[in-house]
Amino acid sequence: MRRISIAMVGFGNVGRAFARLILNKQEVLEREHGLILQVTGIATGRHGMAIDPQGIGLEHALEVSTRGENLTYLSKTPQPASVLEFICQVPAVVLLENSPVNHLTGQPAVDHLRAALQRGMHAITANKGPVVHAFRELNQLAVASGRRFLFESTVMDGAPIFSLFRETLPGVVLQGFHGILNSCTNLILGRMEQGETFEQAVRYAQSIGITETDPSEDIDGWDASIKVALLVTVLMGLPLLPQQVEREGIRGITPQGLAEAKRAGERWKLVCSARREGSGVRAKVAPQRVRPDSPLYSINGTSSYVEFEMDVLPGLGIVENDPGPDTTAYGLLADLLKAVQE
Amino acid sequence: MQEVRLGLIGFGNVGQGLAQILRDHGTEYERRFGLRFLIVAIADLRGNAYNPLGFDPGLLLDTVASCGTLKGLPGEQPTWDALTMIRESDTDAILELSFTDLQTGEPANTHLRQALALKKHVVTTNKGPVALYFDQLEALARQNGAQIGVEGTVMSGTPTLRLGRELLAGAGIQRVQGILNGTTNFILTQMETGRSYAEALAEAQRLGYAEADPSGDVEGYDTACKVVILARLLMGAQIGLEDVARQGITHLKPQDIAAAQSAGQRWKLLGTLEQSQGRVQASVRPEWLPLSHPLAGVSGATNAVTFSTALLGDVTLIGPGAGRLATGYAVIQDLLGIYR
Repeated sequence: MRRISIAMVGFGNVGRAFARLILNKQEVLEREHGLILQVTGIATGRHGMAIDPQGIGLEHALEVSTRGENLTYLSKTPQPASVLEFICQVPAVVLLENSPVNHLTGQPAVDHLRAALQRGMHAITANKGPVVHAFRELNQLAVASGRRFLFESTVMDGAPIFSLFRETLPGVVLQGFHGILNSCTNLILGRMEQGETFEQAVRYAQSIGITETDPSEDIDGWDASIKVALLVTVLMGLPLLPQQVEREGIRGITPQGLAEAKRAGERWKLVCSARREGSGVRAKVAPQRVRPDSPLYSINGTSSYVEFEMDVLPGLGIVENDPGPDTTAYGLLADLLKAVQE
Repeated sequence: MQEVRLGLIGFGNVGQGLAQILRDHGTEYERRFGLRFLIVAIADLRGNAYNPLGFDPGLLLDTVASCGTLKGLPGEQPTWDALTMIRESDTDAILELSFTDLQTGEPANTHLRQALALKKHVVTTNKGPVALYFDQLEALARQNGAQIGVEGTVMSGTPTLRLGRELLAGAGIQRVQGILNGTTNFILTQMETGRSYAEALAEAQRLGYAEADPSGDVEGYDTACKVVILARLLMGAQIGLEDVARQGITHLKPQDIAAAQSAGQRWKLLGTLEQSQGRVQASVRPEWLPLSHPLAGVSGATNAVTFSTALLGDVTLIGPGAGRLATGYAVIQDLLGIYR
C-alpha cells in the first residue's frame, strides 16, 4: 500500500467535489490501485490554510468549508504567510490547483503550479488560465524535473481528450477541429428554441449554477475562446491567446432567427473552430446554423462535442453527454492516478 | 535509432495504407520516437518478396499501382507463402492484414500462432481470429514474451479499444453501445432518403462499401464479431459469437423507416454490451434512437461507440470505421504501443 500526499490550493466547488470523490472511492483506490490518498494541506484565498502531515480529516474540512468557516484551526503547523509559502512547506507529492484565476493572465495559478513543479511535485489543475498562458513553460519544467503537468478537466470536464492524443494517437498531426465547447450558451440556445426569452434562459442557467452572476464570459464567447486557444496551444503545438481567437457571442441571436432556422430544419449553435493556415492557425468562435446531418445538431443542454481532423484520421469526434457534478473531479483524479502510477 | 523489421501478410488496402503512412511520415517517426519501421517482407496473393535491407514503401505502392502485382520486385520469392515468410524472413513483427474469415478465423489464425511461436510480435486488423481465438492467442503471446496488437479490428484507426481499456476503465464502464458496421449504417442512411433496401444495398455495392455477398454485414455478423472483441477487451467477458443475440437489417421496409422518421427517431444497427448482475448481455439489432441521441447523428459509413460509465457519464467516440489510411494508422498505433 502506497501513501500519496496531496496539497490542494483552492477549496471551492471543484476542490470540494474532489475531496468527496476520494472519500467515496477510498476503498476502490486501496483495493484496485494499492493507494491511500491523503490530503496533507488545503490553502484557500479567504478561508485560511491548513497543513497536517498526518492527513487532514476531509469530512471535517468539508463541513467547515461548507459552513463558510475558516480552515485555520485544522492546521497542525503555523500559518504560512502566503499560498506560495504554503506550497513550499506542505509535505506533498502532488499539487491540485483549483483557485480563482484571472483569465487574462492565468494568475495566480501559474505561480502556484510553477512553485510546485520547482519543488518536485506533480502539478494538476482544472483551471484553463494557467494552461493557456503558460503551457510551454510549465510543461518544460515538468519534463525537466521528471514530473507531470496535467489538466484533463479543463476542456469537456473529465472526457479524456488530452490523454486520447497523448496516449492513443501518437504521431498524428492535428490539422484542425470544430465543436461545441461552452455548455452554458448551448443550454441557453436550446431553451430559447423552446420559447424562453434570452433573459429567462440566462436566469435558468444561473439558477442551476452553470454560469456566473455576470454571465458575459459565457455569453460573449470568452469561455469558448479560452478553450479554443487551449486546444490549439496544447494539441496543435501553436501558442495562441484567447484574445487572438475571432470571437462573436450569442447576444445577436433573436427568437426570430431561431424560428427561421427551425423552419429550415436547422438549429443555431455557438461553434468553436480552428484550422491550420500556413504556419499559423485561424481560430474562431461564432454562432452558426447547423443541419440535422451534422453531429453538432444533436448536442443538447450541457453536453459538448468536438471533432478533430488529422492527417491520418479524417474525422474523430467525441461527445460528452450531460456531465454530472463530479466529472471535473473525476478528471482530476484520473490525472492524479496517471501522475503517481508512472 | 531502433530498427523494427516488419513482415506483412496481405498488401491490399490496409497494407498499402500502412506503406503510404510510412512513406509520408517515416522520418517523422524516426525523429520523434527513435524508431525506424522497415517493411522487409511481404506475403500476398499478388506475390511474395523479401528484402533484408527494407523496401522503399513508395516503390511498393508504385509497383502495385502500375502493375497490379508485386511480381518482378527485386527480392521476389516465387516459392514462398505466408508461413514460409514468417519462418524464413528476419523480422521483429508480423502484421496480419489479409482477408478475414468470420467463421474459422483462418488462415490468419495459423499465421498469428506461427509468428507468436517464433517470438515475433503480431499486429492484426483481422477480426475473425481475434473474435474467435483471442484468449489462446494472448496466452501464446505471453508464453513467448511477445505482444499482440488488435486496435484495427474495431473501428479501424479510431482508438476505441485504447480509449476504453486505458482511459475509461477507471471510470467504471457499465455499458458499451455502438454503430460498428459502416455498410449497414450507410444503407440505413440511404433508406432515409426514400430508397428501398435493395436500392440502398446496390448503391453500397457500387461504392465498394458492401461485398457482392453482403450477408456478413447486413445479417449483423460483422457487428457481432466486434461486440465479442469489445466484451473480451473492455469487460473481460469471455463470450463467443453464439452468445450474441443477433438480428440484421434485411427485413426493414421503407414504411418502417418512415414510421421512425415520423416519430422523430432513426433506425440504427446497434451492437450493445451491458453488465448486469455480474453477467454481460450482448446483442446486435436494429433499434430506434431519438434524434437527440449522440449515435443518431452518426450517418453514412461512419462508426461510433458510446461508453456509459459510472463516474463520467456517457462518452461517445465517433470516427471512420474503415478506410486505407485510417486502418493503416491503427497498425501504427499498435506498433508504437509495442515499441514506444
